[in-house]
Amino acid sequence: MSNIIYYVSFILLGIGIYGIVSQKNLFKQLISLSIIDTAVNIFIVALGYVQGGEAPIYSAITPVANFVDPLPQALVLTAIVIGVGTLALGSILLIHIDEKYGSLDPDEIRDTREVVE
Amino acid sequence: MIALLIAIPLAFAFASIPHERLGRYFLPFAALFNLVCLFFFMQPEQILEIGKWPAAYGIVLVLDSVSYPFLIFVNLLILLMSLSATLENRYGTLMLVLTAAVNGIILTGDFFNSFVFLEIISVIAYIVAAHKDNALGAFKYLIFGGIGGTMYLIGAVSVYIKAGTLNMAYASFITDPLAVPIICIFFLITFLVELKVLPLGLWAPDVYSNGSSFTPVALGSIVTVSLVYLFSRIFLNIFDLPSPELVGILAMVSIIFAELGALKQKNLGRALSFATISGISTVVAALSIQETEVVSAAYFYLFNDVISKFILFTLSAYLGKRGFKSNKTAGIAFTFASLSVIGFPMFAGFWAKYYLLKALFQVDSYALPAVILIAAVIEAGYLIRWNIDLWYKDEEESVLEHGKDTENEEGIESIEEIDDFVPFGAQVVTLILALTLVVIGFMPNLIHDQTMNIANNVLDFRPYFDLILRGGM
Amino acid sequence: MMRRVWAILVAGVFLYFLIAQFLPIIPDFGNADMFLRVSFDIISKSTTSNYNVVEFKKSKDLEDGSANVVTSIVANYRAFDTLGEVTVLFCAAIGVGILASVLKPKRKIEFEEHRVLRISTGIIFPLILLFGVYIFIHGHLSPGGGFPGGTTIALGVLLLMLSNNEFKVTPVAKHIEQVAGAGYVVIGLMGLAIGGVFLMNFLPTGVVGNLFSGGVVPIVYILIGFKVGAELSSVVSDLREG
Repeated sequence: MSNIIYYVSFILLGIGIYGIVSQKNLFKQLISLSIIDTAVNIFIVALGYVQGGEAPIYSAITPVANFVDPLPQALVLTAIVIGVGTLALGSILLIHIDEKYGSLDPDEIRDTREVVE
Repeated sequence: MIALLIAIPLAFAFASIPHERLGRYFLPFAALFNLVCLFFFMQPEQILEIGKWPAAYGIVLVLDSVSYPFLIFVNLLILLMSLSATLENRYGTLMLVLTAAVNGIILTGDFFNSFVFLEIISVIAYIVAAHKDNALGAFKYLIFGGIGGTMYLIGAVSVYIKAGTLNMAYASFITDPLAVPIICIFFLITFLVELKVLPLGLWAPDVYSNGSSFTPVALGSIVTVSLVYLFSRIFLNIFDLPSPELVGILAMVSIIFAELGALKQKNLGRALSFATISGISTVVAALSIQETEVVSAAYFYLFNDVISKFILFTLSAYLGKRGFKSNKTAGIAFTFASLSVIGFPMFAGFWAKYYLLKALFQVDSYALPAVILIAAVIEAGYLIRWNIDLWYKDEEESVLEHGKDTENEEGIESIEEIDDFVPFGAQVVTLILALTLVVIGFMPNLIHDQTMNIANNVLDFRPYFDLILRGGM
Repeated sequence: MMRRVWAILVAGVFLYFLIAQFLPIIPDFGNADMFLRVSFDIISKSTTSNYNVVEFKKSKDLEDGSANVVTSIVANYRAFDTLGEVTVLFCAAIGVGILASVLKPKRKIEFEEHRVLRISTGIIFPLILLFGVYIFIHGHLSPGGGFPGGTTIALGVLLLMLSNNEFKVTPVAKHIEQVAGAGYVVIGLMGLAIGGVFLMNFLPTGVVGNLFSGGVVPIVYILIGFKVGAELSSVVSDLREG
């Protein structure tokens, strides 16, 4: 059962997808999207692990190379920042929706829209 | 030299921060600079290794005979959009970054780099979709697009662990036969979301109908062309499409449902957005067949669809609820574009449908032509109805109705105040594009030769890999 | 109720696809074969030369001088991706600015004034700033770099906002952001002018492990640190008040 980290990340992915499809509240959908991003980042970093390797930095502790794979870590650095950008945009959009319709629940939003139109 | 196509618009974007209106004025210059570079200073068949790192270790930008026409087309569209759209606040800065990102996603030869550019395009798309108080539609798009981007990331990383590098050309040498279809399924989900194939394309009606003069053009014409390029590059050149029959069936179902959806819309913007879904789904369905003639016809169809929708969306945003009686030039352009979408002879759309049907019959495919013909009939139904409504709309009542919700914020007190609601730039651009449709209608070989060239090159993997192996110049 | 059934179905199909089809094709956890991957040559800094063993504080004038291998990938080998990432944050910050400025009622989220928080913030805030600057200056020697450093600075600004309701992020942040972003593109263009290729490393790389090593990498990370700090501060400020 050494692949347990992969299973953890897949289950988190499943939870995220379940959240997006089943939850009606818009904010919960945004949080589920954030869970999906985190799950994928865990998965990518786990892909680079080498048994017995150290963190990929030349230092007094590891003067000669014996490292895990640094490339997935570089990819995850970029992916986290992109996830933060998306989350920030989602938040400001939710503030807009809340100002306009008074709630974040799609049922109440639909009622407000029908009254307006 | 190739990197300037991306770096200069980006530099313009950073330079346009101090003052709000600067971005709007820099945009035509950036697009013009790109076009001048492409026409006079660059020839196809060259690559650039960024930072002088060899191809598999670093990032390569590839300019070959497939990306060159797409680049010219996209930059031309951006130049036209900068003249026809009203960009307020800081949207000009975002459009400059969009120019850089769209050029980047067409030029790049590296999977993770294309992911980063895809995310830049997505972030700009969410902001642009929220124009005109459309936060709900933009949020729906954000959720769908966020999932799509994540799937693309999983696919890119899977390529890395199977191939050892993130370079597109080296990725085709993955030896494990089970791996390639599974990796492609991840990419396929992303493209089904972004290319608006129903049911994953349900965000499109809300986003395209916000009544803005540049949202549907930027998303539906510019971004879509670059994503169709990326789709062709990944699925026709490097990998093979996993289960093309399934993709074809999904696309055909999407065409039918989109046309039926467009039939019962009362709002012109929503009807046009369903028409866009149907048009791009046709291109996807045709690309899934992977034969040279069909692929070339698909690109011709894309050309016609993108240009007609440009005209239709721009005019529908500016007209609001008005009719054509006081704006004859807009009416002519609108009618020409609708006739081209339906496929009347004398317009480019006729040749698009003709080449597509002819190529499909040659490969013994009968379901897709039937679907296309049914779709054309339904399109004729609602587009002609809209045209008649708009041409015969009663002038006085539509003007006063229009005074309440318009693209321009001032209200209208009396009829004498109106002159052109459609700005001069938009009129000129839509007229030029409409005339282009007529010219191509009479001389289709101008474009057809180009698309045959692209199709021949994109289906053959050898030249692409040789170009990258040979190294930069 | 139907929604939950749908959701369980979709999540279930996806999980089945991942666990049954996708998991068999990836190598086991911990068994990644480094010799087949590009990062083997990147670790030994030998992409343009033959294989050589790199040693801390001893190897000199290699093709890339930073001791932190992840930094050398992010800021040197794949610097173009970092340019794209910086652009994503830039667009997100502009987007939040646009969308926050069109909200009609001028809203503001107010916090309760608390004396202990206010006094301790005055003590802690300079330390947080110093720590953030340390992180991105030492990006090529220790874990961290521009992005965590900038985030730490933005967190310090957030603390200031929480403790003091009158604090505003001035337009200086937008100017810092613009100068830093343009600076990154200018460095790329300087690489084009000096070396002939965009984003080429044109400064000497020095000894692996020294502060002044790595060529352009520390400069790039300093610019990124300022940019990210300014951007995140303005995003938080826009979210708090319109």
